[in-house]
Amino acid sequence: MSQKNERILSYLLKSIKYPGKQQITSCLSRRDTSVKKYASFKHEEKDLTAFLIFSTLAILGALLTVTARNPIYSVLFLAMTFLQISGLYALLQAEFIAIVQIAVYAGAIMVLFLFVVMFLDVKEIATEKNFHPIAPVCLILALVLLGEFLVFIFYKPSREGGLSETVTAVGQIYGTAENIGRTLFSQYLLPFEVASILLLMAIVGAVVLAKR
Amino acid sequence: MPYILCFTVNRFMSPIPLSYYLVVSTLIFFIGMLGVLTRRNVLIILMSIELMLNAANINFIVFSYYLNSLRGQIFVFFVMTVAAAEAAVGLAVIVYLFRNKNTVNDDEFSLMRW
Amino acid sequence: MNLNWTAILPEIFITLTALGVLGIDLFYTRYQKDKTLNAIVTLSGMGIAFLLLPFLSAKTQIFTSLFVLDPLAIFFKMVFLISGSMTALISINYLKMEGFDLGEYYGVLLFSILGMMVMASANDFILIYLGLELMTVSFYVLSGFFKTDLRSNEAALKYLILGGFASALFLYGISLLYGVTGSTEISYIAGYLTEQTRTGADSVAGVTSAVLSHPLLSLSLIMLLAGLCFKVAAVPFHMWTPDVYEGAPTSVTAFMSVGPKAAGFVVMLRVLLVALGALEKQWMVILAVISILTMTLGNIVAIAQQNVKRMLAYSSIAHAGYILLGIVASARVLTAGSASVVFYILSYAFMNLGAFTVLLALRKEDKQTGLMVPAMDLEDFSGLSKRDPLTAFLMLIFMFSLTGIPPTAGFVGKFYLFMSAVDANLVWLAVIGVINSAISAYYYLRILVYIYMKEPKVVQSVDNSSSLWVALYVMALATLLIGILPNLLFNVARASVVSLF
Repeated sequence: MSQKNERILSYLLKSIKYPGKQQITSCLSRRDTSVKKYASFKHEEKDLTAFLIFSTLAILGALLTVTARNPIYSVLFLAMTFLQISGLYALLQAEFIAIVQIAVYAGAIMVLFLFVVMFLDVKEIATEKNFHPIAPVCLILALVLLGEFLVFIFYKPSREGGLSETVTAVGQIYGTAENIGRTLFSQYLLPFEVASILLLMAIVGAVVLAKR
Repeated sequence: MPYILCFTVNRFMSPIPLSYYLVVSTLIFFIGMLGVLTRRNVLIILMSIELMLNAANINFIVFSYYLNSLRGQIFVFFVMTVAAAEAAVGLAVIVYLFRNKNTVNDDEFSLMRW
Repeated sequence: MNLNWTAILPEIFITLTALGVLGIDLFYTRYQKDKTLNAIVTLSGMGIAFLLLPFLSAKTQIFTSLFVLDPLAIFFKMVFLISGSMTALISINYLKMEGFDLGEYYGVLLFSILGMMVMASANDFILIYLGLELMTVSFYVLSGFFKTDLRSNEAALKYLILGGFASALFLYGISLLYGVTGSTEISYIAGYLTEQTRTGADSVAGVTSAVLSHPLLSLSLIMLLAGLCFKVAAVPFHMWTPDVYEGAPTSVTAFMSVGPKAAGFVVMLRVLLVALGALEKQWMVILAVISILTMTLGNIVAIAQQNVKRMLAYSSIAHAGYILLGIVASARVLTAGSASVVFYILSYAFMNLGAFTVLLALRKEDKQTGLMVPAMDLEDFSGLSKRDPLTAFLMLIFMFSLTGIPPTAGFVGKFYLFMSAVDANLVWLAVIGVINSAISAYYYLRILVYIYMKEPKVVQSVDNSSSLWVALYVMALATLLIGILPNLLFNVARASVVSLF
């Protein structure tokens, strides 16, 4: 971007007040030097509200996915969960991943599931018993484990060096398509190739299995 | 209790605490795990596995944000690829099983026992 | 960026061969019933990759240290390529007889080997996870390869559900580890955690720092262990093993009991001994308990089996227990312990593949239809020595080796494993291992009793295709040679692990 354009844009940004301002200025300045320090991203009240909405709906969607009687409903609730999770990603400045989440998970994978559910006889599936007889035992065990997990998360170390203490300035990384792409095709080239081979294998495997 | 206090204090000052996100991911992970363990419909079991993978993804993104490193986001990108591949093969297995047995309930498949 | 392409040449070759096999299938052998050409291409590709391995300069890190080519990785890649080529050899005639001679089989087999090879030299959890999934997804396809066989279908489904579950646990463990240590790179995590240990020890004597005692770190350790124990089929994550091993095509089962297990163990070596070496007090206890449970349950349940394939499945669970014992020992005696683990994995590969190959080669006449079907039951082995003394003798070698009777590879392998446990002051663990070997003698030798001391009950025939017999001779010779000249190989194994630390 040329010097002039940048000046115009920064002028515009000064005059217009909108929530995403901070992000755009940071994105601009990132072009100049990579080591430049940015001001810590200030979360506003609406971020917390958005977080609460996204996370509540995500958890609700997950619960309904698992408990729904009919697989069709499960698929739809799962798609909803994925959309909410993509909202969480956007809150955490992972914009590229948020979009990919919608495109790949809520789009491709869910359509695949929906297709299979439609392909098989849904009515027959829906009328049968849904849970294993040992489900209550699993539920109790899982709740105990869950409690343990939550205790671990809220564990505060007596001395310095714990999980939240190592964090000083957060949110200095922006998961834009450019950043992700640059890293992916330089540092993570080999995993990228392996992932592509994995996809090829999955295509071949799926065709071999599903072909009559 | 202290975290409920933090809730009100943090509202105007600092980012959403890391632990909030971890609670969300843990809950989703456990819901997925319960789904795998208790449901009988193979399709829903596969969906529960996707939920578990997504819980791990939330963790990666949150940590990537709090650690200021892109690594977590890159990892999530790869997990999505893997999830797509697994879903494709998994659904192919289910389709051909359904053709052979006409059911998708996993306890119907018990030709082999101890 | 320094791109040292030569280090991934074997992987490139395997990929190209896999693509070539798929291409040949598409354009050349598509309308032919016979897919031997695909097998030949597969074998030659693996052969070239195998021959390339010794010429690569060890200890090169490429792709910004994601990928590491140390002697350990080279050793394990050789194990994968050997067992993979043996599997390709024994599959040729088997697939024809079962009527599923599809060219894609070899392609998917090559992809699974590629996944294992990536796992063996991964220095980053991203690559470990991708390699693991490439391997596992290939095995979902391979275990369900006999499409009209319900047991094969069911094996694929069970492996799919439980494998996906275990992968999710493993991934969640990685994510927590990433959060606590700030990286997914194994050498970085190792350095970070050791540094934490040191600084903790400096400030307050005997008290570790807050990161090391953080419960999320232990949690991630447990989830990583659960995922890995699943892949190597250790108790209590073994439930899928007998069903999947029994249902899958026998050639796939043979490979499945060797390849993924070895790949799981090489990841375990890297993750536990290198990355989480600072936490050895925590994982040592867990792993010791898992090891004892795995050995004991595997051996005791194997006694009750009448189906030889299922019995071998439980026996492979028990062998995972022995290898875990070696990993526990290597927490204290690093080089000797892990060298014995590596040595045992190679000897186990030969003897277990051999045992499965004999099972695969043996066929019996179905009384109702009069067709020759695969022999699975113990009864089907009765009187084999009278009908086919050579096959009977080879089975004797493999069974002796699995039991641990000299002069076979199994004996030497177990000797090194138990000795390393004794060196590590874990005599009780070694004693439990020896007791378990004694228990296992019962069911291994029972097969020999049926073979040598009973009269034939069914009409048997042995597959006499040359490819299968080449593989059988190679495996029997290797089992004997390792047993007679163990020092040579043990030095290689020792040299391969020294670079790890």
